[in-house]
Order: sequence, then C-alpha cells, then structure tokens
Amino acid sequence: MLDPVIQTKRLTRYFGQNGVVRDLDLRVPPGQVTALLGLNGAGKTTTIRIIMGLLRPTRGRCEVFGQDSGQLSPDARMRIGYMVEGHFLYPGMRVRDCAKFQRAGYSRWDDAQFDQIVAHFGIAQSTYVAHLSRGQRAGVSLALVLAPDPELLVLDDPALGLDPVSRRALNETLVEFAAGGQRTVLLSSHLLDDVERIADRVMVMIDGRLQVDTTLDDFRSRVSGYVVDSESVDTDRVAAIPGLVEARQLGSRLHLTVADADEETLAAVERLNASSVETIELPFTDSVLAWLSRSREQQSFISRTKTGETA
Amino acid sequence: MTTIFRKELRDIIRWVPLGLIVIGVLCYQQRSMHVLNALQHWFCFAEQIVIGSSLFALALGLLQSLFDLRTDSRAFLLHRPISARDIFWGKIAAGFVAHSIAWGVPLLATAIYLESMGPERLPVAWSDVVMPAIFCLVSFLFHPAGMWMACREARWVGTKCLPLAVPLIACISVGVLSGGLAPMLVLAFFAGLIIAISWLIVAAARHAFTRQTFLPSPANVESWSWPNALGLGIASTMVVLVATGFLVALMLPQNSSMPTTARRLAASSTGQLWELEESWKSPRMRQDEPIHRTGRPVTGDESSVALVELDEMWREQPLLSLPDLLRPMSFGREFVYRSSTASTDNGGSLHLIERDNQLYVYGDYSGWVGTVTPQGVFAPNEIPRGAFSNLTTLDRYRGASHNHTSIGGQRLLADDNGIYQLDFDTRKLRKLSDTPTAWMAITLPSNDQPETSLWAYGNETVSRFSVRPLTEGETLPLIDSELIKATHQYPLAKVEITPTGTWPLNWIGKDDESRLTVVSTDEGGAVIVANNPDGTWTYRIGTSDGALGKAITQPRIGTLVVRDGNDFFVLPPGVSAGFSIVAPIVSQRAAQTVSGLGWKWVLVTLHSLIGAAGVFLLIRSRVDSAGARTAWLVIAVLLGIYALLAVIAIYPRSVTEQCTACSRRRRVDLDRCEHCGADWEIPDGSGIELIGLRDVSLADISQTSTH
Repeated sequence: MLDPVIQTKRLTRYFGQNGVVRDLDLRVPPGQVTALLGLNGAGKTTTIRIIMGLLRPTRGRCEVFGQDSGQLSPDARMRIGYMVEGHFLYPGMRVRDCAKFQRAGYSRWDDAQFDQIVAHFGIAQSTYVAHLSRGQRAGVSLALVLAPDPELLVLDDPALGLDPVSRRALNETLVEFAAGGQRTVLLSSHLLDDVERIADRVMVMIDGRLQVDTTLDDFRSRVSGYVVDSESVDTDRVAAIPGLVEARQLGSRLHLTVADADEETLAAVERLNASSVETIELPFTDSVLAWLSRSREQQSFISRTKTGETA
Repeated sequence: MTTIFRKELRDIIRWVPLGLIVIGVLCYQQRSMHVLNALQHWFCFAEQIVIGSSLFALALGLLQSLFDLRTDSRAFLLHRPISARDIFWGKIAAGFVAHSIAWGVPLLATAIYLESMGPERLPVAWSDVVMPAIFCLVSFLFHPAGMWMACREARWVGTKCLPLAVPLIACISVGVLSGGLAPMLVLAFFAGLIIAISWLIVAAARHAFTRQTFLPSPANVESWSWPNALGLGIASTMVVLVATGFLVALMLPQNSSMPTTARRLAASSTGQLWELEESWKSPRMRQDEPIHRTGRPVTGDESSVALVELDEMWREQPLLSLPDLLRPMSFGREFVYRSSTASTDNGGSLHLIERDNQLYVYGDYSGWVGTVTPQGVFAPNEIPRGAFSNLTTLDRYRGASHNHTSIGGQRLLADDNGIYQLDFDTRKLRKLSDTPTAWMAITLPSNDQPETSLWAYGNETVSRFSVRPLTEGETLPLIDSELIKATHQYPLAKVEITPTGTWPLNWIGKDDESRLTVVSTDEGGAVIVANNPDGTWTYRIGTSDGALGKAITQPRIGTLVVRDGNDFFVLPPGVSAGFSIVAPIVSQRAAQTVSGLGWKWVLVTLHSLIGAAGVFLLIRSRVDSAGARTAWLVIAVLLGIYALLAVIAIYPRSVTEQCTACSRRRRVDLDRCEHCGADWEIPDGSGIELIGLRDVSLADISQTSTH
C-alpha cells in the first residue's frame, strides 16, 4: 500500500461567485499515468494550479508528497516537473538559454537528455524561442521538465497544438518516462486516443466535480453500451434507466451508455418496449464522451426530452 | 536568485535607454546659465529628476510584474526549486540596477559637466548632484510599490493604485531633509520615516508577490500582512485627506458665511509689536478685498488688552517673520549663496557666495571675479589666503515699515573674529571691529530718528555700535527717502562703527532656529526679537542708553489660518480631539480656536459616528475576528470617514452563498457557517459516478482548518 503522491480533500475554489472546483476528493497513486479529463471550464487547469501551489483553494486541502501544496518547499518542487498549459517559454531566450535558466537550483540535471529531446523535435539550440513553432515549443518544454529527472510529472494539456508526429513522440516519451513504475504522471488532455494509449488511470471532471476516478481497465469494464430501435421506445422511461450516462439518438436508433449495468439496468432497458435491443462494446473515447456530454445539456438527449424538443 | 536576477535584468535592460533619455533630457533642460540659476540649480534639478526617476521606477516595477501575472508565465516562473521570496528579491535587484543606470549615468554626466564649469564660470561643483542622487535613490521605492500595486488583489482601480501614495511620503521626507532647515530631532524623524517607509513598501510588495496573487479570499490567514495593511491604511488616509482638502477648498468660495481668519505679528511705525487678527471672505486674500482687522499691542499679558479695530494703514505693515534667506539651504552643496549687490564697477550685479569659508564673488555673466577672505580680496588667478569663521552677511534692513529694503553698496560682513566692510570696486576689505558676531542687524536713519545703529550678536552678548560715514562731512541717506522707497535698495557708504553699549543676551542663540532681528523705535533703540524653536517669539526693548527691558515671551502666533473652525471639522476626529487636548499646552491662540468651536463639536462627533457606522457595515462581512472588528471600530471613531477607504482597501468583499442550514448568506471561504456553525453539505451524487477501488492507502488528509 503506497501513499498517494497527490491527494485533495473537499478541495474547492471560487473565482468571484463561480465555484470552479467543488468538494474535490482526488488521489493520484504513485507509479502510474493518470489522465485528468474534462471539457473546457471543467476545472482541470484550476485543479492542477492548486496542486502546483500556484493557486490557493478557497477551502479544502491539497497535498503533494505529503506537503501542503501551498507551502511546497524548493526541495519538493525539485521532485516535480510541471509543463504549463500552452508550453510557455520566455520568447527572448534561445533554447540553450532556457536550459541554463531552468537548471538553476536543481541538484540533478541531465544535459544529455535535454539535448536528445530537443534534437528529437528537430530544434537547434541556438534558435530563439520566439522563432519556434508550437510543437517545437512543446518539445523544449518537455525537455526542460524531464531533464531534472522528476519523480512526479504534471502536464497541463501537453499535446495542445501538436502535429501527429510530435504527439506520438510526446506519448512515447511519457510511456518511457513512466515505464519503471517509479515515476508518476498526471496529465490533463482533450485527446482521448492519446490518453487511452498512455494512461493507467482516468479521472473525469464535470463542472468542478470528479465523476470518474478509476483505472482504465476498470472503466472499460464498468461502462456498457446498448443500441435500441427508437421508433417504438417509450422515451419517458429512458431517463429512468439506472446508471444511464447518456442516451444519444443516431438515426432511428438510440445509443445508451450505462455505468455499472446490472440486472435492474437490463430490466429497465427491456421496459423501453424497443423492437430490438443490442448490446455493444463501447470504445474508450465514446465512453468518456458520454460523461463529458452530460455537462452540455443542449446536446443531451435527456435534456432535449425534458424541453420537449424531440418529444 | 542570481539566475532570476540575470534573467530579469536582461528583460528590462532594453528599457533603460528610455529612462536614460528621459532623465538625460531633464538634466540637459536644467543646466545652469546664470549664477543665480546655478545656485538654485540643485533644487530645481532634484525636483525635475525625481519626477522622471519615479515614473521610470514605477514603469520598471509594472513591467516586471504585469507580464508575470499571466497564469502561464507566472506558473513557469514560480515552479522552480527557488523560493518565491528569492524570485522577488531577484526582480527587485534587477530593477534597482536598471533604475540606477537610468539615473546614474545622466547624473554622472551632469557631475562631470558641473565640475568642468565650476567654479570659474559658475558657482557649481560635482557635489551639486548629491542631493538629486539621494532623491533618485529614494524614488526607486516606486518600483516595489508598482509591484505591490500590480500583484495585490483589488476590484476597483482606485484602491488598486493606493500603494503608489506610500512612496510619495518618502520622497516628501527627502524634500524636508534636503532643506536642512528643521531641528535635528525633526530631521532624524524624517530620516527614520524614510527607512520605515522603505521597509514597509518592500515588505508589502514581497507579500503581494509571493502570496496575494493566488490567494482566494481575505479571510485566509496567509493573506494578512501587517506591512500591507499599514501601508494601505496610511495611503488611504492620505488620499482621503487630500481629496477632502480639495473639496473644502472648492466649496469655500461659494459660501460667504465662512470667513478666513489669520493671525500675525507686525511692527508699528514706532517699533511697537502688534498682534493682528485679520478676516476676509475668499479663501485667499485678494488685493482689493476688504479685510476686517483687529489688533492689540504685544505686552506679554494679552488677556489684559482687548482687541481694537485697526484701519487700512495696517495692511501695509509687513509680517514679522524671518526670511529663509537667513537660513543657508546648503545641504549637500559646496556653494552657499550669501547676498547680491547691484553696485559694481562694471555695472552689473555681484553675487557673494560662500565656499570653504571664503567668499567667492561672481558677476552676472562674467563668472568668478574674486575671492574675499579676512586677509583681503584676491583675484581668481591668485591663491586666496585665510578663511572666515562662521561667516554672516548683512543684506537686508529689518526696520518697522521698510522691512524688505536690500542693503547694497559697501557690504558688511562678520564672523567669529570681527566685523568687516567690503569695497569690491577697490578690492579692499576693512575690519571695523574685533567683536565676535554671529548675526547682525541694522537700524538706519529716518525722518523720525537720525541715528544709525549696528546691532551684533555673538558670545551671548548683543553689542550696539554707532555707525558714521567714514568720509568727513558725508551723511547717510534716510531710509524713508523717496528714492530708497522706490528702489528698495539702500546704498551703504564706507562707514566706521563705534561701540555704544553691550547687553548680555543668553536667551537666544541656544538653537539654530533662533534668530535675531531688530526693529527701530522712535527712541533710537530697538526691539530685539528672537524666533524661538517652539514657534513662540521673545523680545526685549533695548534703548540707546544701554538698558534692556524685561524679556517677554509671546505665545505662538505664526500664520495659523483658521476658517471659522471648518478646517478643524475636516480633520479626522481623533486628530481634532488630540489637538484640543494639546492646544492649551502649546498655544493659547489654538486653545481659543478650539474653545470657540462651540456647536461644531457636534459635527466632529457626527463625523466620528458616521465613520464608525460605515466601518461597522463594512467589517460585518469582511472581518472574522472579534478583536479585529473592535480594533477597527476604535480606529473608525478616531479617523471618521478616513477609515472607510482603508477597510475597503485592506479587506476585499467576501464571496457568499446561501447556507442550506440557516438560509443566511455564508462566506464560501470558511469551513463552517459563521452564523449557525453548519459544515458544508456534501453535494448529491449524480448516480453515475465511477469511482474505482482506491489502490493506495486512504491516508487521511489533515482536517486542520485553514482558518
């Protein structure tokens, strides 16, 4: 039994009157790649900023390596690699200046690794950051966070704006980084395909609350999909299906995504009086999308039913 | 920190040329062309430079803060194995270096320029830039103040900018120090104030940079900082005081029922001292405005003499105060202006300027024309021998109604070794007496009294000399002649002086602020007046037979302007109350003002109550602790409305939500409802949560409250 690297207790953060993160209980286990998923505005970046001690919670607690994240010591920060959303770097610096600037204070710094990653992205060390493409900036950012050989890697949307080749390079790097099971990665992303490839664990945030927090395998096994013929379906009974995450109309068929389906769930599906009921295996991306689309009510079948748009 | 310093310096060094240009242009604009201009140079120079360097420091502070307030930039900067405090100091150090270059280079160039010019062309030296340099150094406080302003949380731009008022106090304090006029205790106070303000600003800026920008609420204990609160409190009070003062000044002309009253001391044509009380309606006395004037002769027992109506003739009676010309403004300066004379052999003016205890003589545009020492007058190409010891000059006549007549011609000088007369046209200095002299005054002949007397004070003794023209048969012109009245210039001829009396006078001269002035009387004697450091006046009547009257100390009169007690109401109630307690001790007049307020005390009390009520409403939702609330109520009673802005600035409004237990608005940053103590309810689940088995130990996070 290992202590979590990151854990929060009823973490809440307001911006003005808006509660962006609410009562978040989150635990990131060591030695795993954990993906934090959610729509824009779900609270992922705010959560990461609180974890990194760059933002204080309105209430609740957050600990990293057992320390209050708001009081992280320089030694604790040395153990954490943090890639900022948007791959921020100082535009007036050359790539080698970035390394020189970043290495200050670190007891470990692997020049060879930095050079290797930078070279992998095809970047000359004498290039000014202002002249780099977004993908190249991501490469330099990745090199900067990996060179100190951190125990914990926190990446805020690292693949943002990357081309497919760069994305693949990033994914491979992360897999390699976490391969020994000694290092922990927490990344937020919108790219579900990439997450499926590299993550051991998935968390889904909706409107500042954690809706999913489990291993990738557990998530796959606990999400079920059904396709029913919608022409004869009693739509009033759809919302009554236990564990219904999403009901989505595709042509004349209704696609249902259900969490933790059991016999009661199946009975409820039967009660829809559909002419046909088919059990399908949901891809990971569709399963996650089912959760994410719940926070956008105008896209939800249930909501449209409530407002009478399709009734 | 070194890495941060280098990075910050590299970022802002590109802005230094801009600062160099601005401050360089100001230096160029203020270059001296004339001898009198050169003497005032350092002050105008410092005044201009401090504005330029303050603005540049503020710009640097903002440049080093605003870009780093972007979340990505801030995250990139702060997440490194260096404490936020070290990052802050790195920024400050870089800003200091950049700022120092921006003002240091122009000032260095100016110092070289001044040294290359002086003293042959103008009375200037490199040391003239010392005081401007101190001003510039202190103006750097606008840099951390800018960071403080940028980083602190404030919803309104007005309260956001409040920190900028704090370094102004430090700059004003440097201005007071640069005059060098106040007693040492006051100077020490202002020096201490500059140090305290500097610490306050830097500590508040550090707190704002390391804490405030990412704190959610004022209730968090980490958001509290004494320097921040103290600085904002001082700034708020200052801003409201200035704003209220402006409002009162704007409103007064429209209200003719509020006359302005001033009290002053004047001498009658016979030399009798009178205390005048003058009232007029406009805030500033207009030339043609009728003035209600009453007065009474100064006897030392003012309660026994009633105020009488005085006629318009008294308007011309000059105010009896000692001009600052007597006080050398020499702090940090090599050259000290002594006097000028209009009578020279080349038709221009000569300016006598003291440097290293020698008197340098400059023509208007002819540069340095000679040096005067007790050994004689030396040409610029000669090496002057000898030096004065505590030189003083006699440059003005301080008679009753001819207060501002300059004495030209053969100038009288004095020092610890005697009294001299300078004839620069013939390049000669004659010693008239061996009497050690610290200050001099003269009574000149008039239609009322023919005698000319020179009064000298030194070694706690006043000496009177009879003054006669050196040339046989020549007479000294009358001070009330039409020519002298028109020109305000008295051409003093070559004279000889004969001692006619001495008086021990140990009640003045104890402090640098005490000065001697002499007013002639119709009896040929003089009223000897000393301006005491505490603002009171002491005078004695000295007569021609050597007698000296009883020393009478007059309560503080000064030029206190009282607008029917309305200024008093504008002050914070605590200050008014304190003043009313202290006033009877320091000044009988001030005590009368206080006692004459009558029903206006109701206004003062009302002001206090309004302030307390306003603060009470504000702190209800902003301040947690009962102790802090009580303290703020006490402050509000003392400061009145001045406390309101301070509360708003220090405690931003809290975010609230309706409590599900008691239905009242509760603060979101507190773990428990401040009204009913209820905890936050755990939100209802959506029924589709997929929370896997925790494969780590569920170590309980400390339940310790953040509050």
